[in-house]
Amino acid sequence: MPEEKKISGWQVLMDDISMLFLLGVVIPTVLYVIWGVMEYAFAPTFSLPPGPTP
Amino acid sequence: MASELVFRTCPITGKKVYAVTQNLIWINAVTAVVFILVGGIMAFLVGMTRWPAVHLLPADLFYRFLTAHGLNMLIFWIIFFEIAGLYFGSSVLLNSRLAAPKVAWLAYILMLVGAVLVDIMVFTGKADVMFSSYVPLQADPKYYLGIILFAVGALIGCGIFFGTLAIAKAEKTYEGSVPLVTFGLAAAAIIAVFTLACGAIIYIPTFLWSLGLITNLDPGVYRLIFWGMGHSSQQINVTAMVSIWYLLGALTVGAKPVNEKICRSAFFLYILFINLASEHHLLTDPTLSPYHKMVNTSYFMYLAVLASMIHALAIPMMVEVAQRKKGFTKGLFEWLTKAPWGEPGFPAMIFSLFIFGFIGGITGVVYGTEQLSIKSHNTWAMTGHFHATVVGGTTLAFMGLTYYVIPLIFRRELIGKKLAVVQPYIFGIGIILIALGMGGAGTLGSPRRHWDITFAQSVIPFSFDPAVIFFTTIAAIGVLTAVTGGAMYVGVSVLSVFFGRKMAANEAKLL
Amino acid sequence: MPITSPEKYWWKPADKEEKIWISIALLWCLVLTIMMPLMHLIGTQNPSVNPMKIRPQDYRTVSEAFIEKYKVGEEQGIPVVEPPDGADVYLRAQMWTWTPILKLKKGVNYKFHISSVDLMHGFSLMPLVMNFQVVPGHDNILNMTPTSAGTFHIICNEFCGIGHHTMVGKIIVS
Ligand code: HEM
Ligand SMILES: [Cu+2]
Ligand SMILES: [Cu+2]
Repeated sequence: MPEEKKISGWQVLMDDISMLFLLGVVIPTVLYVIWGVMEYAFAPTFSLPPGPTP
Repeated sequence: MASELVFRTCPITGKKVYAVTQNLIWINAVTAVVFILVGGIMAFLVGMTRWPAVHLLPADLFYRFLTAHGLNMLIFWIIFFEIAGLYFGSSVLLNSRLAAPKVAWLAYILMLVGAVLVDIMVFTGKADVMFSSYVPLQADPKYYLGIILFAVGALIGCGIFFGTLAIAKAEKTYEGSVPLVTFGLAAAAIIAVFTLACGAIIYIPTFLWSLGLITNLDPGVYRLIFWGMGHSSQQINVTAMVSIWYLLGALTVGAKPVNEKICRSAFFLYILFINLASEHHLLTDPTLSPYHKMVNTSYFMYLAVLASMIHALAIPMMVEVAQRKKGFTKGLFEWLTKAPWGEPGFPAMIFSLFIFGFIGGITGVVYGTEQLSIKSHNTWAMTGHFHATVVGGTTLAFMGLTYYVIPLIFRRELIGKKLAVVQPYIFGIGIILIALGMGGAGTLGSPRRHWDITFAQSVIPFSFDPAVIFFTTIAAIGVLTAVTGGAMYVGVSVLSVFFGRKMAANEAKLL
Repeated sequence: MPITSPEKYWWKPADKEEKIWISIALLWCLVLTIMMPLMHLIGTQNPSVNPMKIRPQDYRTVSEAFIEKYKVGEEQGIPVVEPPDGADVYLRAQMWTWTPILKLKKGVNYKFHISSVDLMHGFSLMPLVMNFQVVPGHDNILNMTPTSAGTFHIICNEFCGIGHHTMVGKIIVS
């Protein structure tokens, strides 16, 4: 028997469906959803000057 | 339970086909075809109304049926078919029993109840809100409830897929890595989980809002998260479609991937980045910063576009290699000219690749640029773009696959093979005309979701460049052509599934 | 076959053709990526860069004050407004009108505030085909300079109810 070759780390990663799952859900959740909601939450709100409108 | 373990061995591929899996694929695929029929009738009515020469429907029915068209096609047809595809890709391709078939039936029932509830609400005029249902435009609470039920069902379907992968691995029904098609479908299922999670995050509050339990729902945030679902579901379609291209390549010319690493890495890039593309819908929105827009629009440097470019090389390449091995080596293109153009799967695959890549892909990348979105946002060009992707691309690939699923999985001989062979051509040409017509009219400013582009009833008079009418007419010819092609598809598949000759257990004929 | 498991070691180097193609594609993707920030630096047509939320009732108050202040006439019941050079301009979307009709000057920069007091609408400037989403609760702030004289129309390209297709506005540039 020839010596067993080592399987490439990339191949191992791509066979690991749960790892892929984690990456695939976390990346868009952080970059798109969380970042986006924070921008909406922290955007300034226009406020009318007090007294009768100009 | 023993009944869950009954299987037959496919005489063509040698795969084990479990009876429960076969039934679930059958019910989901047949339901999908019913919804494409509903959506197709709506497409005809809506298309004929947009054409000023006919202007078929009154305004209220136009908007109602357009809502129905979007939902029945984009959501119900596509997702029922994809769930069937996931069961095929896991249980059949991996020779494995399906995880929890009873739960899979529950998922189906939830999806069906949800879809029917939504359609009842739409057709009774209680949800004239378009499929995007932007708040503060409000539909009946039962509409949102229907969407939630449907999404929960679909999410359970994805769970069954992952469960089956785990079972197959534990029971060692395959060796080494999963097949490429299964890997692609796994990518689609991962993308689907993010999609459906966004759906839950936005539709549950919206449902409560429609009941009056929540009062302030920010319309900007709604758009952000809605498109986290709405656009990502298109990425499920893209990924499933590419997997089906690989599958059709194998079924039609016996092609095998030239380099597994390249194909799988491309799917890997989809998993990481493709969902960021939801941002494309928000480029002209207020409040959201250019940083958020640029990072997400570029899918973090267009790496998902790179993935599509890789598939666009890998698939024709594997077809060419397979054909040359068969001896079609004359000149540069004999491999292509001698391809099985007379079999429905091959032209469906090539048309799908061409329409998706050259029309849908290019327009998508152009309109998805922050500054160019200003020129195309909400115009009919957008509708043209996604009819090239999700109809010319995904739907046509699904249609082509159906002609193989019927003999392979349902064990029925096709009725109307001749029709099946010309169907992809007719449908494909129709969609090309639709995409170009809508694209031309939209570039000149023709709006989407619009009952009357002659503006006969507006207080301030306005009329378009006459070229808009010309392009609209091209699109209308495309509508008639594509609807014919769609009707042929529904006819052939329904007749074959119910009345096709039952094939003998050892009959190894594909078409 | 793509429907059977691959060989044991499938992580193998790509061929030359594949490498060439992927390099070209990657290069193109990088060019695309750079274009968007670059256009923010050297381009003159960009979406809004000023985040601002505004309550629909506040927006109505401000836009009414704007109309009152600079109104010069009326056309079919819609006020015609001529703001001074460089003014803040409020263009209100409301089922199913764009209020007011604006009279602007060529070559002058105006700060547009576009918002809605009811549903989502779509600002679509004809015949230039410039489109922006109009979102209630948010102020779409855009610096615009008319570069040619003439009459322009605004149509609505976001579904906003049964009268959506009648929603037309007007900008006159002199
Ligand atoms: C026979 C084939 C088809 C024809 C002739 C057709 C035609 C049309 C037309 C005329 C519109 C209206 C555009 C507008 O006024 O804004 C439309 C909208 C739309 N179509 Fe199709 N279509 C077809 C198939 C499909 C399929 C298979 C899908 C999805 C898988 C799809 C998804 C949509 C969506 C999402 C919209 C937009 C609805 C909205 O704006 O809310 N269509 N289609
Ligand atoms: Cu409007
Ligand atoms: Cu409108």
